[in-house]
Amino acid sequence: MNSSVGHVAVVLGLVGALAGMATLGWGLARGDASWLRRGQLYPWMVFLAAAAAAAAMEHALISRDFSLAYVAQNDGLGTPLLFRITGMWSGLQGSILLWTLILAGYLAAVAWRFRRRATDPLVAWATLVGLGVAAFFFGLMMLGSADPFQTLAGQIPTNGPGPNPLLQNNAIVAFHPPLLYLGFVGFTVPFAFAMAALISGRLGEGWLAETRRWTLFAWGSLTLGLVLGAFWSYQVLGWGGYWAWDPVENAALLPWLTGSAYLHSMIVQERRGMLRVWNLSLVIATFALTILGTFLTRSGVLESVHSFSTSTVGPVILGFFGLVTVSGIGLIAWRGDQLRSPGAIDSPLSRESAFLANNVAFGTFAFVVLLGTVFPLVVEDLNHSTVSVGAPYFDTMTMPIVLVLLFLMAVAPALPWRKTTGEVLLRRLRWPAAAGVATVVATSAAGLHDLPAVIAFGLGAAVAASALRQLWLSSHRNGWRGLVGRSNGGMVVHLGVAILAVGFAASAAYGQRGQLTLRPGQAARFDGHTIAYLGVQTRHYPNRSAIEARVRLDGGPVVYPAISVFGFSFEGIGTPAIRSGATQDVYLTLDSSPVGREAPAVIGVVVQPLIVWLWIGGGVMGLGVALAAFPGRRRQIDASNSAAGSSPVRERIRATSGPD
Amino acid sequence: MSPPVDSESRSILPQPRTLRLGLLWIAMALALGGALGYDALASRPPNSINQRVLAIASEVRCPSCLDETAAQSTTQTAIAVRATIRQRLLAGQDQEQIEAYLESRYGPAILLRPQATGVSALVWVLPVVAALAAIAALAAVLFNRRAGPAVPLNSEERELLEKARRRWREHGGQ
Repeated sequence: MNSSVGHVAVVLGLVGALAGMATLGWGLARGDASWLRRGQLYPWMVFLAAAAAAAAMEHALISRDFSLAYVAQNDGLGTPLLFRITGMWSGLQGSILLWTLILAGYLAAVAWRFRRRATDPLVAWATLVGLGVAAFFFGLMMLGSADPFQTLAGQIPTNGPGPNPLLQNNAIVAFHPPLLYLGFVGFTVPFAFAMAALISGRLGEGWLAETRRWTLFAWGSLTLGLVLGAFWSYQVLGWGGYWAWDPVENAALLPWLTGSAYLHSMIVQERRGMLRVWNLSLVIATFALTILGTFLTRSGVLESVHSFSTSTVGPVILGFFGLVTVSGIGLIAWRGDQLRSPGAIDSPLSRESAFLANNVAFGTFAFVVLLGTVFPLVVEDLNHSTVSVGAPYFDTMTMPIVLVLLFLMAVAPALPWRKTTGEVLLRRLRWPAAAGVATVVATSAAGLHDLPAVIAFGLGAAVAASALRQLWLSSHRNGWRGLVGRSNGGMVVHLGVAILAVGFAASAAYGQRGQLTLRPGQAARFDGHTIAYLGVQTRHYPNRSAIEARVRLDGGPVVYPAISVFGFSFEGIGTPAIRSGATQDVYLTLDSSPVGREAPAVIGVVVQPLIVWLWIGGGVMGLGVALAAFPGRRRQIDASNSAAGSSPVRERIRATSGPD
Repeated sequence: MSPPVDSESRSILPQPRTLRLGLLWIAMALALGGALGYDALASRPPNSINQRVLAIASEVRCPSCLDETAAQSTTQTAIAVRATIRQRLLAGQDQEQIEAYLESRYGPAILLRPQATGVSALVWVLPVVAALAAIAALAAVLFNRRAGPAVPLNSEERELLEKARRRWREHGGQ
């Protein structure tokens, strides 16, 4: 039942996407408004089909329909309800279904948002491109090699192994992947409009202003998804870290980096009409990188915690990536002469130069991450030798780039557009600089001598002071409205980045880790903490059984670092016990379970400062995105301007004259 | 607010406000340089054997894991690698010798930091080349600021411009 409903829904989704493309294509070719209007109904059909497919999958997972291969692999009788629901994104095929559902949701939202401009060629082309992406996911993925509704041949099993133990250990799994996908897939909207602008020749600032909030939403979701992923890694994986430069993490970071670059450089285009080719390239690259990331992590070419299984989806995704890249580059080349920008940079001491420098830094960052991630593959292919590119490489290479970015974040908000003098800049920056210098002096007086970390602390303080200065000036002038809108929200995001960067630098430079072998009743000191091992106990939960060590930390309450065994699995999964504080986290793991009641246990201890700052910084960044999406100053919206048939010229003027 | 200055002294001496600003920045630069210099030269307590083991282990892949370093992992193989590193450190070997041993034992992929020789050198060199190229391009844009050729207006744009000009003239050129 579930399988047939699912298959029918997927076929309907494909039909809807293709029919929509054909309708819109015909309407565009004929210049026929009624076809264009009809074409805007198809995103809804695609959305309903995707929702029906997702509902069928959830129904199968919740009712444990083991006749579906996917359910048999990712569900079990002992799996609690929450993890049966999240089972939809615990495996490859279900993840593709979630991706398609979110994509269809975005397409429907675009159709709704631009419902009064159905006859605008820009909107029609963007919808067509979006439907094309949907057709790929329905037709080539879900009806091809990543079929979520495949049935099992032969006897239907009565039980399954449940999701991967790591994916049923913490409720964060209900939020981390959907948020990440909201981010990934969200970049389809600016991509579709960028392609539409190139195809339709409406190359002004219209497409960019039109999709500003969509881009912001995608970027914000991706940011929260990444931070939540780090939080999950810290809470669940038991190694005491939060970022491993794992290929899948890198694949998610890549579009974040190019997306961050784009969020900054788009402002230059809106204000000055420059960087048109660059912005188009960044948007197309960001979307292409989400597809490349899916290829790298879902095709089995790279092994990592996140990749589910080896499958044959690789060539299909790679082909799609190639199509996106080639058509993007081709279109930009075709429109090249119309993309020449009318403006020029007046002075190196200007906001626009700072944004350019920001883009160089983000671009280099993305290049390092991409190169490091694919390098082992390339070397293995061409040179037939194996090489690892791991955390030490990424740490070494990205640290200077991050420091440059922090420096720019401290300076750039004080820079005016066009040009300024050194004296004005020095005057505006005296408080941020004082905050930075005071922090460096205070930390070295306190005996923290790790140079990169101390520099990061100083720059973090300067970034925060620079952001607060802007917010103070702006709220002084405009009251609470000085805290919302793009630039003010952006300053709140900067504040979050500063907090996060300080937490990152502190925990990386001043963390301590060790292992203690203790008999019951024995205590030991580690990095200023007393860890007393009291004994061990076994507990049974519906989906797992756990061996829990009873440990008293610093004479306080007893905590229970554990090793859990899930379902049919034999491998134990560590569950850490964490004591978080504003200045320091103590992270305890049971590294090997004692063989008997009186036998010694090995307790892993990780003590790291300012871990909580990472989560606070991430939260502040999310808040900043929300504030940035909120309209800053009231704009006069002329209904006739946003109605159908606004000419490119009028649109360009509207986009450049809007205050921001 | 600032006291009136005659034109002659203004041309020679910076205004007091500017002077104060300059002095503030010089003081901050000195304080920063002093603090960072102190950090760079400050004597640090020698690393304990545990810290030295972890420093090397964090450059080494845990042989039985996918993405974890031998410093982070709690698996038996990682514990064995850490024990090997400790033994060899105590026997007086340095990091290079220990890494060479681990490489001979587990293969080149055990080391997480690619070597700076042979093919792997590319992974170090390419980003530097790319960054230098990008910085050069940036410098070219920033310091060669001749405006590009004027973009000709299309008919619609010309019409709009004419309209704006007419309106401007109608309002008496104000």
